[in-house]
Amino acid sequence: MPDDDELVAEVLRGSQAAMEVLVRRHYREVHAFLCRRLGDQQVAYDITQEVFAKVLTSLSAYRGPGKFANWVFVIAANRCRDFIRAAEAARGHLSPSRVPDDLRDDTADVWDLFERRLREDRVQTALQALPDAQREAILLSYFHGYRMREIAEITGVVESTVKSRIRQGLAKLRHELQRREDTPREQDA
Amino acid sequence: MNRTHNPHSRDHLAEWTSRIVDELLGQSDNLDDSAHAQDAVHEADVDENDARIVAEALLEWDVPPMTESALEELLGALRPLVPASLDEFRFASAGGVHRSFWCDAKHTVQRVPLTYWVTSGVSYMAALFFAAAGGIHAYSALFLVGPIPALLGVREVFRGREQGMAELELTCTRSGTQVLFSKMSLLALFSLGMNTVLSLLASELFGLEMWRAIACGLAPWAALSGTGLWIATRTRSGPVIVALLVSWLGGGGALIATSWLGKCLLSLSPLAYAGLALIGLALVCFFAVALHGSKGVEWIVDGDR
Repeated sequence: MPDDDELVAEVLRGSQAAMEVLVRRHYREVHAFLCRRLGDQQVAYDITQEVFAKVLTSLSAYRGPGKFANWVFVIAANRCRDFIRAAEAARGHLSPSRVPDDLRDDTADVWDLFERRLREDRVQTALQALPDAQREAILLSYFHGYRMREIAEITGVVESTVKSRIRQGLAKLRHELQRREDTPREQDA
Repeated sequence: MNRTHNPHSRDHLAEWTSRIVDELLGQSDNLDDSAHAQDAVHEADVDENDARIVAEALLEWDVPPMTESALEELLGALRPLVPASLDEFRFASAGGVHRSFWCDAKHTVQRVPLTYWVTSGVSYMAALFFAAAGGIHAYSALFLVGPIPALLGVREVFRGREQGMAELELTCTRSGTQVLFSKMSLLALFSLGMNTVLSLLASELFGLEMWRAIACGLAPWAALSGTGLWIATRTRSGPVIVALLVSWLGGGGALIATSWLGKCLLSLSPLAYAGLALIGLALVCFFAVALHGSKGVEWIVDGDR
């Protein structure tokens, strides 16, 4: 199977098939990142489309080798920041939306689904309490396997800033999760 | 980037927890920052247990993938953004067989690596040089070097099947075997043309009989091309073609060293040359037609990891 750089060369020569393989290879990671970052499936889909459109129109500016995935994430992270800024300016804040029920596995036990939804809500709400930069760094690190140095490249800051963001983010997140876990117990008591 | 991880597995949780603590403590990447990072970690009071608590929570957070129809829609929106340099090729089939053949050929020239053209050219130059320097008989040089570009071409044709995404693109408008056929024809024409030019040049430079010089290059060209195609269609392996080429050069070189080959080539009758060339050409035609009429090439298109 050709690697990303070979596919990029083919796309630049006009290959639709190479573009398709390249997008199929990376859309899942990008879409999942945007979903978690923006908390909205539909918005994530629209931004995924914009990200890949930007990737294709600026493909000649890509400087490999072997950094295509990082390059796509740089574009995704930038586009995401632009969107969040615009949305915050327009609405004050972004509210996390629910994943539509029809996308769920309906064969699972209802109670399991309910519990799962509660756990996901807890994580999402706790993450929403973090500043955007900290949330972004933690998502890239945990869900996409990027190391600090790569996150620094993607987000355009120095590595020590990423470390600081993750450190502070983890501390806040742990605190938020702990708080949300304790609150219902206190109410029960 | 570790793309093989599964963020919803316990293994990933453990791996991430230990990695993130290592990185925050500055043990893995940037030693210059380690002192600063250690201070900072201490200050923020983050330890492996905290990372584990967070990871346990994140482990639960799954997002549903994009549906296939949404992905198709996405690809449809992106298609017009692909650079249009192959458009000429894509619509060439409307222009008929001849036009599409030359379009394929034109595209083939772009796909064949520069090393092929350079190696072929250098081998012809080397043959002329050694013949001029008196190292080998001119007929022997033509005989030995004749099949080199053709065999390298067979290797290129079959190598392209394994890794050319452009071929995949071309199969949208015509079969993979048509693409192979056009590539093979172009490389055969190139090697045949170069052989003829070399033979004419050699006959001019060294005062050789023209027909004999041409036949000296043509006969092994046809015989080895046919053999190479036969082997390639059965083994589907590039190294075997290289082995055949090495054997040809080794065996031919050994014969030339005894100067027996030059004398033998000079004494062969025109009929023998013609017979050898005809057998080779028949082999080439047979395997080319068999390849063209086959069911084609199976391409694996799996972008999903």
